[in-house]
Amino acid sequence: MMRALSLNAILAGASVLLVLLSLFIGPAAIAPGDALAALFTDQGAVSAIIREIRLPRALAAFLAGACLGAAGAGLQGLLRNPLADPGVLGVSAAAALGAVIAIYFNLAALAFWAAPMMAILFALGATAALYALGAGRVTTARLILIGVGLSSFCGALISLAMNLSPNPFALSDLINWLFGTVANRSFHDLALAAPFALLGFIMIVASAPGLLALTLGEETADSLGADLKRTRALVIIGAAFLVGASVATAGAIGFVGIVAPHLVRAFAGQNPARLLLPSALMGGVMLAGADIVIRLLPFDQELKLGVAAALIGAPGFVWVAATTKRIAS
Amino acid sequence: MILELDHISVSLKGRRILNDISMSAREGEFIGLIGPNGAGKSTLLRTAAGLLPVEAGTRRLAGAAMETLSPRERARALSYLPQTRPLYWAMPVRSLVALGRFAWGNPLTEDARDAEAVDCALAACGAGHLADRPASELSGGELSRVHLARALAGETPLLLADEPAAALDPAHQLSVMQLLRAKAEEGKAVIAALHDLTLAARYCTRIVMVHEGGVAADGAPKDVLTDDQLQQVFRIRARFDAEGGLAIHALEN
Repeated sequence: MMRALSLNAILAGASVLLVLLSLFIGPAAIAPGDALAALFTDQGAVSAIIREIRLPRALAAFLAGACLGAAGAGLQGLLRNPLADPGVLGVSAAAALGAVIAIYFNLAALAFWAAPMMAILFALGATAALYALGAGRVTTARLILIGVGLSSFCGALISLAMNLSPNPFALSDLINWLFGTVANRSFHDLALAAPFALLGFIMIVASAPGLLALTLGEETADSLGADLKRTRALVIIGAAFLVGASVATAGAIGFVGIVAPHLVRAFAGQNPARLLLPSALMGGVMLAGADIVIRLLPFDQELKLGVAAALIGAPGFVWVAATTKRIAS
Repeated sequence: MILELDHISVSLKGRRILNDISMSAREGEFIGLIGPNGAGKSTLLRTAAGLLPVEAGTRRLAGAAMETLSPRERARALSYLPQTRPLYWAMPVRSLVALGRFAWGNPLTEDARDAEAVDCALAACGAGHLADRPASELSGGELSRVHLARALAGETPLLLADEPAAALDPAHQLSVMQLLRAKAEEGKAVIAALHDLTLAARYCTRIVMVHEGGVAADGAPKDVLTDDQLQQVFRIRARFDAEGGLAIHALEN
């Protein structure tokens, strides 16, 4: 209990620190003192850079990571599998497909909110399909297999869109969504995603008692008095909102949903009900930190956030898969 | 009457497992469910626990129709110890046993009443010394007692246990049977699926013999474990000896 509390405090402190640190980095040379002054008082052009370019970018990275961390922790608790993740279940791919369709059919050019809204809608559609195909009482293995199929299918449709893409600008837009980036995010983008993120987080937290009971398996959890139908619905719909909000903010970013809860388990134990908040904070810290690192790297073209996450996250995934002891009998 | 099953039929995957079965349990009874493998004992326990839908018939738990109870209400009336007891995340023994208090108060926190029930259950199962150990590092026998403690921690009037004495050494088998008998004498109703007829004969107040999805016999151990029944249902010959024990021999084909 104390450890969980102090872990949350440490992660929350790190989050604030990283967001502030992120304000000091960018192509315009602004001294840290000036940047802080420009954040809190009106300093003209400097304030515009800090408040409207750097701050939304930092918050977007944190929000996207926090959404993925919370969604991953919730799905892992529901499926009782530390490898479960929005990416594994096909929800991320479906959300990215939604954004790609919006761009491909030029909906995104008509309204700035078309791509993020399509991402959220497709994330919901994917989880609804997962739920409907499983028809209420699904086994974990079946759900994951359906997710793998869904993921491949969405991936194929995205490739098709890129294959047929008539104009190179649309292609570069598609790549931004697929690789994931928080460059050039505005408070408009954040305002669009934040309500879904908040709603999704509340739903995932409300599922905590059910997730705890599921530690003993579905049959025992049922007999303990956990409402499993409600728990499933809360996690699946909550994760859809979280993933949709994350993809809408930053595009498709993988592995945070697996690695963040895994790191938290090393400090806070495996109780799935107590992992939700620290996993969200850890996910936020990871992406906020990664977004700072990619801007410090001396490349001509900025590394995409999703590429950096995958470079660190994919080996992390292998590490989790290789070291997880299956303790279920 | 804590549990009443009235003309229950249950099918799993299109196959009829329980066929028009009726039984009931009252406080103070320790009922042994016996029957060959595949007779429907586990399905009967899961049906009694409200974990399976019934095709036909009615179930009443503490006087209320099973279907009208919320999961929490149901869990305050009965605890269920399944045959397979998975543990998906590492947790200390005490936290595992505390899950038995899930339906009481806030499931995520432990109040004084919960703590007392958990300590009592751990002590009753001889597992008090294991409280701080990680549950994933226990031996099979220790884990079995810890899960029984979890089922007792709910302090429910009805306890349904599937093979509670399996995987235990003889001394621990006897202590589990004694414990269940004592719980029945305290006023609980206990229904346990058992494979060991000798233990069932010695400790149960009543035996329900399940055969091919129906009740083949129901009554006091001496009346159920008769030559005829055992031959027909189990294909064995058995005889009560002078001390009330049961000597068992396989029938020759």
